[in-house]
Amino acid sequence: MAARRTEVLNKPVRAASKLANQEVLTELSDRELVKRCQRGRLEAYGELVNRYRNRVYALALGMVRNEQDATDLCQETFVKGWQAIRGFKKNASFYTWLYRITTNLCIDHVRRRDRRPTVEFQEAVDQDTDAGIEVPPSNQPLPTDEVRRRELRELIEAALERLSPEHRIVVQLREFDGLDYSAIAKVVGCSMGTVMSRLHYARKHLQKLLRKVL
Amino acid sequence: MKSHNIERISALADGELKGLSRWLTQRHVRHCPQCADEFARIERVRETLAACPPVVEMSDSADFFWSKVRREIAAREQETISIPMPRLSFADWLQVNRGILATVTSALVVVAGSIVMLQQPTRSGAVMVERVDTVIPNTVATPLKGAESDVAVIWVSGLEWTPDLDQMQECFDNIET
Amino acid sequence: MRWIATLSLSLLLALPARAANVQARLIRASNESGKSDTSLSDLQVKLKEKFGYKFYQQLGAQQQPLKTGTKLQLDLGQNFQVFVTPKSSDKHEQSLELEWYYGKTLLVRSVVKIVENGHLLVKGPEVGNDWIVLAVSVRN
Repeated sequence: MAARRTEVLNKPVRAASKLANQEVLTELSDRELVKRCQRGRLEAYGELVNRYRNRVYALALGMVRNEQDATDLCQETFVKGWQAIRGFKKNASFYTWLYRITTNLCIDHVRRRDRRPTVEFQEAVDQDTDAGIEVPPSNQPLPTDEVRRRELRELIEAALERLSPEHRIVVQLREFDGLDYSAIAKVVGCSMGTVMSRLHYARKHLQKLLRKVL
Repeated sequence: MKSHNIERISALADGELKGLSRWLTQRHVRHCPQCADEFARIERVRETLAACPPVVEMSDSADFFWSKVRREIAAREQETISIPMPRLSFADWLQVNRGILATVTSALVVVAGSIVMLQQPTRSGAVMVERVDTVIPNTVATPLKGAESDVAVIWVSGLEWTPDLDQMQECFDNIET
Repeated sequence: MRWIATLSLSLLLALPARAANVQARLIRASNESGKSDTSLSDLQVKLKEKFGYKFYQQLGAQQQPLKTGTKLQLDLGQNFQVFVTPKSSDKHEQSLELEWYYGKTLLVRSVVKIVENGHLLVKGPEVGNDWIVLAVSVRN
């Protein structure tokens, strides 16, 4: 009876302590978490994984266009990240570094998977298969905002799928991740001039694909 | 902009142009209908994408995914790898940091210039007697060489002695040169 | 980069194009106390070193800007004058022809090269127990 009472008393204390630890981690900045990782604290890395897994997944999916491959590449990104975390320089940006790992893994994966050259924007335009994304006609009453938004999202995703990987990644990093040109250049491993050029032509392509909704 | 640099219009819409290049591009866009249209189109694309970003979520739950990562980390515990830090090209680094570089370089130029200008007045060099002569009979003028280079001495000997300055006139009036 | 160019150009333009001046001073070197002069503080040490007297008094001084080819007349008082003719100059050095006169009598004539803040000292006539010394320098 006494032992059971102790057990009951102990449980809330343990749960509260675990919760307190998790809360502390979520309040720490990336830099603080990286410092702890460099000291071997795996639970701090868990918080970083939690913060960035969907963004890394989105980036990988954008490049490889396959959910299973993207999940595997996402996992591989974080494993490599942990293996290399001790060499991470404190003043750098963690997510830029992480995205760079993702990009390199995805590029290697795409190269291994298929050997066909990347279809650049100009070729795609010239082939005149660049029809705009069709908005399906409907006899139904005007859709609600939510439905309309969902339709638009699908159109955008379809349009993004038509971009080459190089163009897709810069659009993703700029429009959805909010990175500036210098960060994108570091992630992708090209010059800022190349980022500017790719982004511009990607947008031109999207203009054509989405002309019916713009 | 001397010509229609279309790519810069995207950069302008993204707020990536700074200083003079931003001012020039904005001015061009204001006056060029073609580029103004292009700018408006790019803005529309950006707004559309921002309004409906693709929602991408991993099918694995957070805990499940983390458990997979942890397992893989444990399996490769003995491996360490080195991943270089992502960095900009030198030209891009200069462009990104041009404000700081210009400030530091300007400060260095000002400091160096001040040092040079402050040093100039105290600079000393050689004073040199190239030629010396007298026309007064029995008088000799001799340049003396000294250790310092910033002072030269001419020693004139044989001039008439006078008891007082007031009486010097009389002595020199009698000299035939 | 434009900032750097503009600032450098401004600095270069700001460097003043300063005209050189020639200064001549008539000095009495003496061992009698009470005949010292604060206006000679820059020369005291050198005068003592070269001529050995304890006290130095400025009897007269004049300064004029140098103009190449123009003969300058510097009146030092006590009937002493110096005529200075610039021969040539570069950034830090002047070549001058000097003629030291007492009244109408030429005491000494010389061609010297003087740098900025350099001095030419001429030991002149002896008056009582004292000496008359001419000091010539070039300043900006």
